[in-house]
Amino acid sequence: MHTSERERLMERHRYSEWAGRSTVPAGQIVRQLIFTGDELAGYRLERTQRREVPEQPPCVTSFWHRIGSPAVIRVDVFECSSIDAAHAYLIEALGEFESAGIGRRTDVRFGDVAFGTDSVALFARGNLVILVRKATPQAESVADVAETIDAIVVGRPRAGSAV
Amino acid sequence: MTMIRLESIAFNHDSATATHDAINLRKNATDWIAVPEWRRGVSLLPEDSTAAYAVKQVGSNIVTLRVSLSCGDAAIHAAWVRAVDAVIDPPPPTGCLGWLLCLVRWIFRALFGNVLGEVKARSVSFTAGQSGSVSFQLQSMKLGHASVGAHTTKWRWQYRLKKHSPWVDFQRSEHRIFVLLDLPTSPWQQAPYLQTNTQLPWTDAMKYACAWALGATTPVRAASGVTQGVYHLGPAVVTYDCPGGGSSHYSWGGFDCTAFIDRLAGGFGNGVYVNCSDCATFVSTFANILGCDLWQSRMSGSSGFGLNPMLGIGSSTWQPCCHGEPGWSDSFSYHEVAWTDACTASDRVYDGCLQVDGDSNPTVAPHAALLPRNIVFGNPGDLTYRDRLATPTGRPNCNPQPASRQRRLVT
Repeated sequence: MHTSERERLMERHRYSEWAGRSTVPAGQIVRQLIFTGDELAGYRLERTQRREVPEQPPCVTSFWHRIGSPAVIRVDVFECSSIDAAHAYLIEALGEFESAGIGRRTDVRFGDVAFGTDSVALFARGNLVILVRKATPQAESVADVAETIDAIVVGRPRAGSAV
Repeated sequence: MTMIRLESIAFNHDSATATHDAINLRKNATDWIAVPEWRRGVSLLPEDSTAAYAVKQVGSNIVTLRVSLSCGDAAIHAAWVRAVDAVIDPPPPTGCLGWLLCLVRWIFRALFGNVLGEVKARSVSFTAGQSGSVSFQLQSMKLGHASVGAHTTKWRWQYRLKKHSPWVDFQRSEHRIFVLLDLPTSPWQQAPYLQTNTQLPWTDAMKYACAWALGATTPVRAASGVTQGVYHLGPAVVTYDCPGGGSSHYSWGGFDCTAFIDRLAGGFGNGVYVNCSDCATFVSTFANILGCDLWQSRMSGSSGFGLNPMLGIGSSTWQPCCHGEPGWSDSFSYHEVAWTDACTASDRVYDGCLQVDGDSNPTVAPHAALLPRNIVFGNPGDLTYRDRLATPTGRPNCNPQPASRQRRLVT
């Protein structure tokens, strides 16, 4: 991403207000994340793939089929090298949204810092940047899935979760 | 009993050039196309023997094949061998119907029929029943004037033992021949010609690109056809990602071409949603495999830019993109298109993601749908792409960002 574009996004999303802050201890780094299929109650893991491309953090992409419905949720987990790197990458990720209306969310229970709507959740937790979004049309919010994934990352059991 | 057998045919027999033979290919990210492309007992259907030719490279050159033959009769040390077009049209009925049928056949042959002509007869020697790899020339070839397309060549292979004896059929072969305008451009590569090089042109992608640009003889027409093909994937195959704020589903950190092709073939791929970066990547990558030369490049400004009414991919409602949806404000933070040359205001864009209003006032109804193909990006007031996409107040924030231009690698 070009420097001026990055600076524009940092200003727009008030980077200085949340950069470097995390509930996860700085030394606790998650790497080589693997989904087994048991993580999301009520969903079947359709596909998971790890991608490592130059100039991008490693990414684990998974597709989850809501049982009894045609709905599919996509979860991308970007493994950054540190909390600071995750927050820098969060800015890059915000630059992939074409809408100028995607903003910060302080009313949700996931992430050290979170952005999006009820249909898309982009958040950072520790060294991870996590994107939860719809891969098919569906009415349901993705917040529950985002909360569950977040709980897994911080090792916190969550009511209703299979973990 | 047939004495002579066709063992193999190599179309891409010289990986260093494409001036006298076919270009370097692979099938997709994981599957390789071995040369010789046609092998006895292995290649049964046209798609089992695939090759692609770059018209601009071939020009009026003589194109050659490398063919291996065998002979089961130890007494035969040489034979004349050739291949003729196996497609013979039955005589048409007389009158207007016959004339019409001839015209339809002619069009069908021009678009899908044999472009390689025939294999010129030559004498072949056998040692211990094997010819080894022998060079054959093509004749009556139509490649020099062919248009973009996926053609089928069916040959009837014949031999005769003496120069004036009647020809004897001994084998048929069928081939899928892709005709490209020129060598594929980046991200596609011709070298290194190794199985590890996933950026060699994929025939799985070429198939769709040729269908979308069928009949094109210029890069502008080919890119326009691909743009239209991509846009018309909506709403059945893909639709704009309003729920997700217009995030990239196929082009984030590289082009997930494997998933896109899966989606095109009726699979799930990465799902139904796409954004502008995805569409720009589809258009440029699929146009470039035909020999076009497009970039993926962005436009943006110091803040988002307001949008005129449009028809986003998959939508039939004239409105600013995703109007009224949560997370949307009738504006884009950026937009990305397939763009020519330096990706500046004076360069041309192809946008497979949306149709703009093409009339004299794109800010209000009535609307005249215009799919942006080969349109100058322009400056405010020019009534070109920028004015049609962005509102008058948004236009100063809708500026070309040529530093963003790229060609995402295919995975």
